[in-house]
Amino acid sequence: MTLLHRNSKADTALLLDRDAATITTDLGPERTNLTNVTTYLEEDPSPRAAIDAPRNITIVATMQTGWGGTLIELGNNATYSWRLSVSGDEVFAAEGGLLRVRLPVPGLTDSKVRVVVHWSQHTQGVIVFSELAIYNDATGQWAFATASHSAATPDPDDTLTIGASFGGGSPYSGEADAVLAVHLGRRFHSTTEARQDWVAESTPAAFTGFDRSPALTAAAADLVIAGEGEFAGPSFLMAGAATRQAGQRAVGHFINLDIREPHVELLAPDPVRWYRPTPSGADGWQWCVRYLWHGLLSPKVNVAAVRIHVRAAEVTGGSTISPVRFRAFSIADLPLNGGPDKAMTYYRGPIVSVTSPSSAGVWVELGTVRLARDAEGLSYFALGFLIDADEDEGVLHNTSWKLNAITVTPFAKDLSGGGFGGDMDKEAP
Amino acid sequence: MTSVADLARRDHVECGYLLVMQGVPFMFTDREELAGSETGSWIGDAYGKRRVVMGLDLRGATITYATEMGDGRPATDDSLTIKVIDLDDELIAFFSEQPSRVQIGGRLSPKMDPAPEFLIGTSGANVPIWGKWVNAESIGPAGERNYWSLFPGGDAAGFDHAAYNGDTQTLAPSYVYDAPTHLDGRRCALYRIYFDHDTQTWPSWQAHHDSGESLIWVGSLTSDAKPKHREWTLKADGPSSWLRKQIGGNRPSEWLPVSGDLALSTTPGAREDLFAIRLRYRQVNQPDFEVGASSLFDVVDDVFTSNGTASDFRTALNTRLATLAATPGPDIVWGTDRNAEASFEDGYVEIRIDELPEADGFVRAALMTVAAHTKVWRAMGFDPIVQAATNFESDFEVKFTPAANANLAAPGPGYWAAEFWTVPVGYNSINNSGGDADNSGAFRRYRAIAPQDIAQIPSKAGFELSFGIGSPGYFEGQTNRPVVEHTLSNGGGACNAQGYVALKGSYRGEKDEDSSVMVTLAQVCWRSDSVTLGGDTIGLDDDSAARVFVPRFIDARFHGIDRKPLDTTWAAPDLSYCPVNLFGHALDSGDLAHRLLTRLLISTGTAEWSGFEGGATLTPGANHPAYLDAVKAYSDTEIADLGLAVPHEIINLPSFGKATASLPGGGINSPLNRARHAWVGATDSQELIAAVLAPRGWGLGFCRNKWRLFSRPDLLTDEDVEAVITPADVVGEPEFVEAVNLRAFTPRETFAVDFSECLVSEGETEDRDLTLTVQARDPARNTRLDNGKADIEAKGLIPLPLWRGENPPPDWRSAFTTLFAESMATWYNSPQILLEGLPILPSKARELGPGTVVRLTSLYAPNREGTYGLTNKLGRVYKVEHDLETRSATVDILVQPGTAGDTRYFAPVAVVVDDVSTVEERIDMSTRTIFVKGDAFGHGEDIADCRFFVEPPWSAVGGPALCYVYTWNGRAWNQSCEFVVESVDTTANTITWADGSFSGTFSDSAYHVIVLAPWDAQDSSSWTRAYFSVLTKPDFTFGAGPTQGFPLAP
Repeated sequence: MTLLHRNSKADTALLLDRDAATITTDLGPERTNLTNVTTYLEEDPSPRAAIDAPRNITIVATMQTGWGGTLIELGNNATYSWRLSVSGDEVFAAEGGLLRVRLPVPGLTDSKVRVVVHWSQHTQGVIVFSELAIYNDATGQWAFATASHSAATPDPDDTLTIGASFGGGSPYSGEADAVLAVHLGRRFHSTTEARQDWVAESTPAAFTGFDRSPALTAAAADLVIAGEGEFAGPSFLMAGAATRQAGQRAVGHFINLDIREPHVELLAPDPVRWYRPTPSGADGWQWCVRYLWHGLLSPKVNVAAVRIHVRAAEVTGGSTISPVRFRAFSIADLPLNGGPDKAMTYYRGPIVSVTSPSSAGVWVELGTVRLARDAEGLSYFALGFLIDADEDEGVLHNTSWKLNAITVTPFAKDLSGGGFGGDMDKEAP
Repeated sequence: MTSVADLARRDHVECGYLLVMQGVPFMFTDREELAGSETGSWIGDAYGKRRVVMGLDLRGATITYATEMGDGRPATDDSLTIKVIDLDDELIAFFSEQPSRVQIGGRLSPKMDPAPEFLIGTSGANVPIWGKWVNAESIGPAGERNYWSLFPGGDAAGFDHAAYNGDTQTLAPSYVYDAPTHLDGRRCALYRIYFDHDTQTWPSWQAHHDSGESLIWVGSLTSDAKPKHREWTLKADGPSSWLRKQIGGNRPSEWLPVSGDLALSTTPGAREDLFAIRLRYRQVNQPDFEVGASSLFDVVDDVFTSNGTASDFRTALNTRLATLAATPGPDIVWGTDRNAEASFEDGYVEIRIDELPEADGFVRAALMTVAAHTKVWRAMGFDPIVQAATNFESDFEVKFTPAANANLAAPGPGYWAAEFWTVPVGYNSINNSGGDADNSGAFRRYRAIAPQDIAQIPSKAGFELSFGIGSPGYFEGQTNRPVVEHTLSNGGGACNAQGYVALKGSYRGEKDEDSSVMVTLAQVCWRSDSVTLGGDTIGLDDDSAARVFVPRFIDARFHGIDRKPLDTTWAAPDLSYCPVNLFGHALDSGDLAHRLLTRLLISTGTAEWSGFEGGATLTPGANHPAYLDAVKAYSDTEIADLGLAVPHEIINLPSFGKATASLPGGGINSPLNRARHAWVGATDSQELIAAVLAPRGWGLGFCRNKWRLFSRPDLLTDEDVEAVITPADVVGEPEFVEAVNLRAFTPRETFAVDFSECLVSEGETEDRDLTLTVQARDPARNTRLDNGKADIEAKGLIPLPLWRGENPPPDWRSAFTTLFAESMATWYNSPQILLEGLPILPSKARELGPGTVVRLTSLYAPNREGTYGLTNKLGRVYKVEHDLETRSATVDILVQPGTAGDTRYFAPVAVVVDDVSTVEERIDMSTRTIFVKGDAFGHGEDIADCRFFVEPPWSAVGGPALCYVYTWNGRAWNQSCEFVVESVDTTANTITWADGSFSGTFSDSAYHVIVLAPWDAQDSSSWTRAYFSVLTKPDFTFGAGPTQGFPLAP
């Protein structure tokens, strides 16, 4: 069986990864290996590396202070199309003899560390933006620089060398052994994508909406299946599916907060005037102005996925707490300063409980809440909460909790009873 | 071993019959080999101690299943006449009266599984039920429900035996019997049991049931029994009898008074419990007031008890008034300077001021302005709308103005300010009253117009009502929706049941408007009490009142009531309520009709909700099929009283969704597929089903022992074919010649639909026409001389004219017009051929039922192309008569005009899988296989994406199918490779290419889409050229030819 590398993508022109195979082995779709010239790697010529913007070049290599030389280059004995090199603990990204962007490697010391160097370009009209991101695997530090410049035209007759320049010139201090992975791609890769690919892959949130691009389609000029003389059907189905998925995409966060100094909540509200019972009147449930947000919503969304990061703890570090319960509320016409003429409308999500203390905190999925908004589109979001005090609360333990982060991500969902009815989730005000 | 299904496919086979009656331990057969009981017998002891007894005689018996072509209803003449020789005295005992039966006063609901050992009797004593029969249902020795089941694996749930021992009795009595006894409607089933000649055995009852071929009829016993000594002739109604029930009959249908029960909201922003008082004097002919103390909506001082009465409100106002009158204001002390005084009394408000002569010699009037919520005014008997003053010609006129107009910032909507002057009746201003402004020092009274503490319905839901003292009879909550979370006041307890009521009473919206009868619908929630009186009813509060919570109003116009939703508080002395059966889940724009039909069929009353509206979880009942997992709210969800408990095994559920696809205006989401059904008392389920079928052109047929829904006017395509009938499948005399009828229907010129049914007659519209007539627009209309009219009863269609154009729900009328003027008219009036009485061999007969689509070839029947003989014609079976003795059948087939293959289809597209870890899971060069997604674009149909890359089995064109693979390289789509299809696997979702046909490069980690190469690139002999439609230029041609385009199948 031929394994598919996670980082081998549709745009991948070359993919090397020492962890998966010999460093000369191309793990990308083209499967054309490089030549090992002992101290560096080579492909002569390398038309596949002659990619103009948008383009991605990522190289993962071992570094330490004082090391220098060419990391990767597409060039010949006189000129080069593009080059990534290191000098004075700084990475230089250059094209056609012009320095595009430079950036010091963060946290470099005199011991060897794994460093990700990620140079990716995207275009805006005739302007090319170069993004250079460097990650130090030992310290977890990122550095980032960007620059705009004109476009360059790489030469398909140039030679690709890794660990040195053409013919072994300007060799990298660690030579080819220091090269851990390489990715060349035909599109822009964001720094987020670089992190997912080369640092750590994150766990996606549980989410019922579409949080990724809709089905790939293209203009008829690019994708001939929509052209005259083609059989009817495929283009309709693809376009229809893409439209539907596009309509269900997340449109950006309503709330996306990483709270730097979270307040420690205890059973007793403090100050009392900041708290109100939730409108459902359920015993002990509260809102607090600390956890109340408002904003205007996009008209194309009707629900939101809510996720909070909570640290629930016993104040003296004990191992038992009373359950802390949370519930998302979306509110319209929230009465303020005497109140509007309209009665408040609100919708609630399910109740989710944290029942054991955690020093690091936990992500808590508060599920999906239907969004309420007033005639102008203004919507409030409140976090309802309850320390469900057991009989030992205040005697054997004191429960506390704090909100470290919250994301409220609106999206569109069919609320018609699974597509088969009216407003299933609608709740009486 | 040969499977039962294989045995059933044989034309020549040895078989017997087994008649099973639900709740009865003995079964009848006509084969000695099947008779017996316990170990060693065919039935054995795997199904309890059942007895199979000889005596069944089905010689000459037939079963007929049919769907009415005209209106789509299942025909009801599907009965079976059974002869039984009562050799073992089973029947004579079964038909005996049982004087020892005991009436029960406690309910046995289907959710009680296992059943309790005892039910409460009408006298209060315990009645044991284990090992006995409750009505027709047998209870097992450990409380098992439906112990002697109809199916070998047991039946899904028990029945509902509603009972109640309260004073208000609305239910039929239920009895406990010691032995099975004949009761009308007892369910029964007929199995055909096959002998396996290979193994010389009779496969088990379970194996027969599991084959799907053995259960050939279900029905219910009637009282139509004619014994001739031991020879009994029993008449049993067929499967249509399971669709016949008075549903909702357990719910009371009386109008009863609603007691006044006021609750003032304390919700911030919508507070109703605050008041304001302003006290002032004014001199005649002076513009400025002399201002005394005032107190405006103070949350401590100016607050009513939220659930108070008129007396409480008066006390609160008078107490505050006394304080303010003695408090110095900016200019005066109202109660001291001129000794003004005022008070709220039972039925009136009075106010006075000292008369002249006064210290300064000027005449003054006293003025008290009081603002309170309209509910408070109505509770005290004042009506801010009706009593609003014009000329102050009587002491009923009060100057009421909305609080905002009186310069008062009210704490919520619905506040009215009243000005009480000392100016006497007859003067409309202080200046006009001149020296009389002080009313000569006497009290000036303002009288209330209505009794105090009358029942009030606020315009916003979220309040409580009292349905009077004592429980209002048997009142079971519905399970169509979850309960709304609420704890009832006055000790009413937490709500755990919900249902629906209609409310009616006199109403006057505007001052000059005549009083009319207001009718509205509301969801109500209550605490159900099933203990005190043995059956479900509304639990009582601390004052023994049946208290309910109203979480929402339902727009009554959906149910034919010509009344807009309330926009102001409705207070009426004659307010009454009536329970309503509301059949549906969505309370806004209606449910999808075919889903309602499903729910009606399969509901058994065993569903449960946990949690509350907004976050509730539904656990569907025991009859819930996995197929409906995505739409549990339309599965086995409703209470037994609103369900037919038809086992889901005998319902072809996918057919229901498929039938909706051809509705104009969006198929399943067409507005015509929306329905709202509600009724008071019982309604006939058969009529309800007919009302769903008729306006949508649907038909319901019992086909292959399953109910299936189909769309009658659908143009049949090769894809729909389920059975192929050729001359070799025809049985009978050698000289048989099929006869046809060239006019299957009389043509229809107009279709009139009536959707005027009104839930509450007082709410019927007086000025809106709730009918719609459409004219046929089929091709033959220009020449036809006809006046045929089809009347369509359409309960449940939304009566849109009642909205008068103000935000009406989606309009179904254009979809209806399209369906009937075009599709149905064309179908009724097209040159169809009705082939009647075609005798069919057993092997083929078993495949046929009403609704089956067949491809038919016959030798003699005339076609409509000018020759004799039908070749590969498509048609739908509408009637099948099965002969139980020979297993053959005679069928009626409605043959569609035209030739299959005239129309073309959309071409396929497939996407190569991408969430895999090795290249060989995407493409395997060694086996020439590409792996594709089953449903890449979410079409949701049960059709694999790769299926149409090979020629359909009925097509005889042949030739290769060339495919192109398009690849996304991160920047653009390119055609990367091509191949000729050898085969597809619709289970594994793979396409295999013909050896040597693959060329190009398959990028192992790119996105790939596979389509058929364009028409011009296909081999000239390719079937793809004959089967699929092609994208054309605007002139309807394409390609190098250019070639004329092809029409699509509709």
